[in-house]
Amino acid sequence: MPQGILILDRTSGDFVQAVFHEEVKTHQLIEAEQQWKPHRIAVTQRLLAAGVPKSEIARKSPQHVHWDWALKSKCLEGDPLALRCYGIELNGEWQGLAIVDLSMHVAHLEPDAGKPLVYVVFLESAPWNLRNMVDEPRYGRIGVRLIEAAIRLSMSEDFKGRVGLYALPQAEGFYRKCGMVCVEGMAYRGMNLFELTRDAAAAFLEGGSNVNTNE
Amino acid sequence: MAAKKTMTLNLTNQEMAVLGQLAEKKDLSKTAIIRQALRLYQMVEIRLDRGEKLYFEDEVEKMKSELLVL
Repeated sequence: MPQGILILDRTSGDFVQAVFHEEVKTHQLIEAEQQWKPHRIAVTQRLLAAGVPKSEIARKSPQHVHWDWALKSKCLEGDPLALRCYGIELNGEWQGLAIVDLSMHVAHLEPDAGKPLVYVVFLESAPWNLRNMVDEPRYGRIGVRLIEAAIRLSMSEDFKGRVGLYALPQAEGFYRKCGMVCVEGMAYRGMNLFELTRDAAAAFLEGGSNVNTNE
Repeated sequence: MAAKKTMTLNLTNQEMAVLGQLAEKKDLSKTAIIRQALRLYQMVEIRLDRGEKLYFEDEVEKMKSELLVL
């Protein structure tokens, strides 16, 4: 059932009530992709208009600019219990989305090594909310709210708040601000593994969720 | 959070003992272990239905064995 959630309106500086959907369906992911895709294309168009050579476009673009939530929705086929997709919506527009896995990953950090965690497969704020996509982002705290939702889900599943994910290099700073720690020796395809321990999760919920980030 | 229903589960002593051991090892409630097992079982089924295979790999012995799920 959708619930209220506060996000930051960057224009007014006030917090506004958005809707948190704890279960986002395939058709809603396709809808989100239809909303977000033109903004992703605009990033590339701006770089080209600024004279950036085509060979440099990928390097100068946000590292997730190629993501496609309509394609990502395929992992939800068969309604797997292990995967959850949730999101934040305001005024009919999707402000952020995440897909998490509840069954295939375990923690590496002590004291909980080998114990299950909520693994964030994908997490993204709408392109119009990101400073590396637009000059004037519309809403803030989306990424923080999505991480908070992962922690609360972890708590409700008896995982004690443990969360893990592989971070794009550009996003590492954000996850560190959330209290996540890089797990050494676990890099994969140029990405580092980050985990939130049970103590860090508790700290996040006690006030860290007000962490000041640009996400 | 999705609504939950309650059911009675009948287990042998040995099954109950294993459930207890797993719950202790993973620091989960017995209910959470059962739910986790259900997720894993369904995920395996979904991926096998897609035509994928499930393997165990012994890195030391360099052996890979396919797990047949009935």
